[in-house]
Amino acid sequence: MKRILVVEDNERNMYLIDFILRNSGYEVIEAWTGEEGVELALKEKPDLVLMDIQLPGIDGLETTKRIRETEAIGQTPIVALTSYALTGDREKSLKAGCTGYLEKPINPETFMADIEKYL
Amino acid sequence: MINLKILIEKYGLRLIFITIILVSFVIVFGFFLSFFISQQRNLITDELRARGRILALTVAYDIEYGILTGGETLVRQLVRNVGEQRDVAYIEVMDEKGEILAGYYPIGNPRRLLEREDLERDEATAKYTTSLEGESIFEFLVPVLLHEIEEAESDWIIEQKTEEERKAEDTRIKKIGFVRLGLSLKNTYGNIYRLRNFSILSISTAFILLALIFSFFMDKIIVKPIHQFTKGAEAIASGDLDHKIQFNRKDEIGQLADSFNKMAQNLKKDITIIRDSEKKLKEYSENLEGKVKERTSALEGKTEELLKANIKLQELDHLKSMFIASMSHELRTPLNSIIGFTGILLMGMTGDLTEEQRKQMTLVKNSANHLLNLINDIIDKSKIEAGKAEVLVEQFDLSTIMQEVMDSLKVAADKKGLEMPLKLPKELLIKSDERRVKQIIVNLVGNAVKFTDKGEVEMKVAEKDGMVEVSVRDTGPGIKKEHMDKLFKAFSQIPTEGEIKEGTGLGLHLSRKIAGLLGGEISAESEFGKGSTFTLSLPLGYKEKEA
Repeated sequence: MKRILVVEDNERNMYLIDFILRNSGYEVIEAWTGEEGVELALKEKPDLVLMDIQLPGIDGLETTKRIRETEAIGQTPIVALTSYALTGDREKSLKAGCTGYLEKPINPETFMADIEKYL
Repeated sequence: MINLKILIEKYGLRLIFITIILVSFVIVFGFFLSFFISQQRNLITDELRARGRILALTVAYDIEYGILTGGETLVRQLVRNVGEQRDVAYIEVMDEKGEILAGYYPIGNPRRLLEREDLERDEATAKYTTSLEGESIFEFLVPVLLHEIEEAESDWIIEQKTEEERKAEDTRIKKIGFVRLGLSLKNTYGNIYRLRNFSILSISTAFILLALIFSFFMDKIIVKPIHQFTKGAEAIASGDLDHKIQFNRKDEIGQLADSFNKMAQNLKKDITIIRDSEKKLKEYSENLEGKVKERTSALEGKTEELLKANIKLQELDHLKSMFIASMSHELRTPLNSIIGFTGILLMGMTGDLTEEQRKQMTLVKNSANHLLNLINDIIDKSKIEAGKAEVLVEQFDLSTIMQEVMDSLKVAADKKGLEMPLKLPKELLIKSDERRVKQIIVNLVGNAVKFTDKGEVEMKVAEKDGMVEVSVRDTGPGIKKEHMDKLFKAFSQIPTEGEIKEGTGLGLHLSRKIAGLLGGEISAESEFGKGSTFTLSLPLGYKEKEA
């Protein structure tokens, strides 16, 4: 069973993503902050990371950089969850090392298809 | 000439006048005097000549007897008597052969001017010279004739004699001697020269006196008044307008003084008026300065206020942007949940839904999407208006984008039974912001599908002059001419027959703004009742505007 690490600080979003992923047959590892994300990524070595960009403490971009800099997990695909509202989120996330991006709000109908492109 | 000029400058009018008078005097007086002297000289000379001739003839006549008788004493006595007369320079008596019988020479021996041969007949002859001791001399030579007394006595009546009779007579008359008489012009000329010198001296003195008197009067009558006028003019020039010129004269100078005084008075009046005006002007200008200062400080105050207001506005603008950004985030977070969970429910992930439940959940989902679009559009609009919209330029294939747009809207078009013909080249690479170009095309095609109920929505791409033109033509209701100008306005929707179409009212407005941002534009053509064509034209290669 493939494992996906979700870094997301919003409880309802976490529940939504968690629900869709589990329903689609994936194991979900939840991280609520950037630091926790880096820690769990190193510990669990997931097949994919879903990274919210807006996070308290170190943000998604910084978290992504740290994962990329860690040799053991440096090659893990990371998909950024970007917000349309914030200028340049997509570009910044790709620059920080994200493999791809999905725009929030997520559409459950296309969400899995989008993610599976990166697995 | 220069010296004359300096003299005139130095001594002025007087000198000129006196010079003119003296020069005229010298010319006129000199002319008259020389004329007079020469006349006088001629006259006296003629007189002297006549006198000398008569004297010589008288001597010749008186001495006839003495010569005939050979009375030497008588001859000498006569010669001496004549020789002592005034003006006589010399006298001598000769016999018919030229031997001097007697002579008297008060001023020396003469050089003989006349010889016996000079005498053509028995008449006296005369000659003029200046050679004797530097004196001018008239010499007369007269023959002494032997008269036949009886003939002479009968000859009281002077007859008219013919030339032949005269010649006959000549041969009869016998010359028995000659008288030579020299008369000096010294005394006569001396008188004339004395007269001349006296005239010159006295008349010159008179004229010089006259000139001095004239000069004095001129000084009093003309020069001094002129000086006074000069002083007056200088006084007026230096500002003393009360200066008056007094003469007590009624002539031209007096009139001039009156005119001068009048002029000064008028000038004073005028200057008083001008000074008053100047004073007023100065007051005005001072007032004006005060007012200008007042206004300037007021303006400075206003400027400061404006600057403050501007800073406030900038702060407000920043706050607005912040507000919109955070609002959108705050609005999106719950929308994420709404859209996400309605999606999950509709997908049946939590179990089957009844038909009614499905219908209602769909309404929830559509409303949430509408709200999301609205929020996105408002964000876009405010970003573009604030100049904060970023353009991400990359090369992409426009044909692929068109295909994707068509694919995404095919479902909606199929539902209404619309054809969607697509006229594309295999590949059309352009450099622009892919996402924004797609956003515009989605908006244009989406509108066409939304408003068209039957027929087709045709998409077409053409390249022309460094631009690409994306046309979307529909067979929808078309737009009335009077509504064309509303087409691109924010929050405006053109009324259509039938149901009201769902939309934010920002779509075309934003599309046009984005097209502008990318260096292109959107135009619309429409015929009411037949359909519309919207054309997006973009440069093949985006060029950043020079800021």
